[in-house]
Amino acid sequence: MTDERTSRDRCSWHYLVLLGLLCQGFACQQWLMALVFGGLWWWAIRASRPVTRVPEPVEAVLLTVCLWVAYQLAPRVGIVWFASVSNALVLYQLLRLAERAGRRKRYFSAAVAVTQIAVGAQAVFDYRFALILIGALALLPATLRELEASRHGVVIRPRAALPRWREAALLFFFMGAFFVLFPRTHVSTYRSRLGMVHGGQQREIDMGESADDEGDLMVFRIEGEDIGYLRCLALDVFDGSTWRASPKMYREVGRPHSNERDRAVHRQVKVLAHKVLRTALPVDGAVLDMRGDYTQWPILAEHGGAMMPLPLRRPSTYYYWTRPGPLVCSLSPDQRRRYTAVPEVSAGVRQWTMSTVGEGLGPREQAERLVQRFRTEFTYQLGAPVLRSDTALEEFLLVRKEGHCGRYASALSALLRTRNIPARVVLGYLPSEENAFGGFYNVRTRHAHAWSEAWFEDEGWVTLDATPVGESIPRERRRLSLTLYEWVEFVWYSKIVEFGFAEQIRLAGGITHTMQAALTTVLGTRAGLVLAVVLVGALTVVRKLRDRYPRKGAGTSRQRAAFARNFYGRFLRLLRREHHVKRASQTPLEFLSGLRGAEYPRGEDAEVVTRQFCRVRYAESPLSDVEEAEIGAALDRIRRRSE
Amino acid sequence: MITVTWAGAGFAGLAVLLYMASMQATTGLLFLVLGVVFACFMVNAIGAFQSARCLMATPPKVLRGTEGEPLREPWRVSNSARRNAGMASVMSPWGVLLRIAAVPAGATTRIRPVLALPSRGVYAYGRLRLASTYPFGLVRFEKRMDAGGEIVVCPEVYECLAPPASGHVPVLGGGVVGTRRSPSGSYFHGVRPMTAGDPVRLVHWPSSSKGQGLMVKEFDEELAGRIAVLVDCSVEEGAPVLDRAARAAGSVALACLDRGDHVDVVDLGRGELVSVSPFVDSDVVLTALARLEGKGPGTFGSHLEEVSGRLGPRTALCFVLTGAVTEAHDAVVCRLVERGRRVSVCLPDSVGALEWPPEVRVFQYGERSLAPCG
Repeated sequence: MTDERTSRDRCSWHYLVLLGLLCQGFACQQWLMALVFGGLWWWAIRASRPVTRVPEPVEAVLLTVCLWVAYQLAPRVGIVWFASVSNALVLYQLLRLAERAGRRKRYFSAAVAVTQIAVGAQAVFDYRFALILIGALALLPATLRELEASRHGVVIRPRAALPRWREAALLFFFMGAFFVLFPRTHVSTYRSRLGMVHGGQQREIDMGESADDEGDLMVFRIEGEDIGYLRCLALDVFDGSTWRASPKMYREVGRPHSNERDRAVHRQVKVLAHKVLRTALPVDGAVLDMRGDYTQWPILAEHGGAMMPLPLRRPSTYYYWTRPGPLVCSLSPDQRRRYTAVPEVSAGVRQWTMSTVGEGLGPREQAERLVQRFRTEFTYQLGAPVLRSDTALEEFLLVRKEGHCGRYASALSALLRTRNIPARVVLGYLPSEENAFGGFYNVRTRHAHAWSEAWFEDEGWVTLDATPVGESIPRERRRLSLTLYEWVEFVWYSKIVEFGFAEQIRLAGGITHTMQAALTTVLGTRAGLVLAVVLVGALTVVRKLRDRYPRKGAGTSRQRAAFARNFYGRFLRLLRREHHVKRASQTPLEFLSGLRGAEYPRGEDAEVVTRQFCRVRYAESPLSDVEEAEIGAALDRIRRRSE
Repeated sequence: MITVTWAGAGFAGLAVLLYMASMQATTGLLFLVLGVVFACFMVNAIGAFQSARCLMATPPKVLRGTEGEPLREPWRVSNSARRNAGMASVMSPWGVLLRIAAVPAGATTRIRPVLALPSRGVYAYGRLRLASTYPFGLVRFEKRMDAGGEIVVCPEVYECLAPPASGHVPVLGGGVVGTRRSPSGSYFHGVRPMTAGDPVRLVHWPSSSKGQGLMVKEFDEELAGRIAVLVDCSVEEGAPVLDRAARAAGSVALACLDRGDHVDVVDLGRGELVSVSPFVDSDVVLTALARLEGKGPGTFGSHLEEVSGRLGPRTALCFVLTGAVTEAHDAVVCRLVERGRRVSVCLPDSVGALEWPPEVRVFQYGERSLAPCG
């Protein structure tokens, strides 16, 4: 009995409420609560009815009190207020499910379910939200349609209430248009699981220390073309073993707000592990302008990189315009002194250098000779043995001849300084994991890199990478499925989850630009203008013709009659199996009377089919969805009996 | 014109709240949820516009009904578009006249109105509007309907005693049994010997077979009287007592018709007379009563003489008065009695009767009752 009643009563509204409850459960950050709420939903719709009815004013007061208590209790139990309030609304939903709620209460309950889905949108932003969104897109319109139909005295089956393809496409279009175009004030960036990391990038390099694989943690994503070395920090002080950054390296030398964007390229960076970067904003080339959703203005440091005055507190997105190539600038006497300062090196090192660069070469040629020798005679190796700190440079050059990028950058910079060439060690990243679908780079902790920069009179600071696999690091090949997954993840998070005001402005600009270009193309040429006029004229003519000669659509009386013949014919065929044959002279009602006389066991079903046939065939009255379902069910029962 | 329904207003309010909440949102996904609500509004607006535009509701020229009951005649509703339409209502100044749940594409159907007007009268279609909320009920699109015609709401009738009629004449099927015999009728009286001129079909063969000669059947004579129901309209238009009087007049007229009398219904306000023969559809009587209008105090006798001339001299008169009995009423009644008319008077139950001659039958009517006075 309970099963029959439940299955009969269940409608889209029940499923919308279930969706809201599941979202509320997910908002508690666990599957268990979602399962508990789902179980409560199941229990509520199967509970015996009717529960004690509470007068509406009393119920409103009780609900208000419940919400207020939930709001007050939230900080004491350590959950955010809206999650607490939504939990109070779960109780309301369960009460609505357990009683035979009227239309007004169902409207309110549907609104509560939408609220809970909105709460879920703040906690669930992975693939589950896509399912939730599809559910909401189907169930909210279906619920509203059912409620509106009930106002007109019509009952619609849940499946029939779901949007058809055309309507679903319209709903999707308007939802997308709203999402893209509706102005929004602010969207805080989501707390990505990718950015949950402690610690940060190293601030000094000890030549003697060994280095292991830095791990696979995603630090940031960068979009753009021909991305080179992304610098974060430069080290200018060398004590013979360790490179450090002097305070002058953090000094502001300018702000990235230049309007000169000639030959500039655009990059967009999504910082995921902000704690790894601390104050650094990885950039390449000479930065001209910078924008982002950060709350403090970045500065340009002496090493040409961008830095925040204070560490980033949350994952952020920034984009910048840069001019690739060397950093062109002059050196003050103080800077020249600082960048050429180097402790006394051993005779062995001096001899090794001399044997490499020889005599009579210019600074640039000397640097290239050194880089070339490192690349040809040395080996890149992570986890190379630790060197003695007092003779690290000598041991590296003359004995070990292997190590990680830090050793090569340190050694090259030190050797350049011994040749009185201003040099420094730069820390940053070298992106190599390009996504084949999205064209963006995933930059992980293992892509951290160190290289040297040397200053030459006519060129400025030039990047020199002595690491044997430095510039020739092959682009990483990843599995297609993994690449696709990362691309989908990238699109989902960067284009949907984090779609904010800045993206809206960019999109609006793009659309305006495209439309201007299209208009210029169309109206600027005579052929385009003629084509536009012809198109508009053709559309108008087609529309007029369609209005004048409407197509015979479904639902005309002829089609209804055909439909009626169809189901009645099936009915007669089924009865023929049981030797109940309708004579040609019998009317449907006479045949029905004959069936009754013969005590046909499924007389009620036969009556349903016959009556509806007469209605459709002779009264030309359309069938509602419920009536069609009744006919289908009756025919099924007759078929089962005949089998 | 597009308006937002109360349900739509509720969801719009919710959307505003969610938009305000989005200022502190941690993701942009909230805008997708908002987008779903917005999409429902937009699809609803388009659907309501198309539905209202393609639905054609054609009412009957005269839509008849009884006060307090839904109107009877169905409307013809057709959907000229290639997509389904429905969830529409025909709105009138008096409420929702018609609810159109669903009309398949290209179909025509007939739908009964749902409006039940509380009081009798004639309501011109005038300002009808067709409003559709298809398919979600958040947004309503309304368009004006160009429908000519009217709704005639007849007074409700109830069972009551019929006042006495006069001027009886033989009518087959008449409700009064006369003293004479007739060769046909409903009430078998007996048999008599056949005389010259009696048709053979009257021969009563069982009696004739007993050897006393041919016997023919005789029936009691059936008589039908004549009565005129005169409704006093000397009250202000819209006065509730006029509705009660119309109900009483309708009930009296139908009781008389049931008895087999010939009934004339007279609107004393306009001097219009409607004659109804026995066994004829009574709608014409009720329609005439639906059209009664109050003409203001002092108009009781304005058309009385004129109407009296059109009534038969032996017709019984039944006055349905709407206010206190005045000397004018008294004088008219006494004069008619003196002339030999059979007169009865129906008074509102709030009004006391004067001392009239005993020949005058007095009734009192209430909201939905009519009973002899005293």
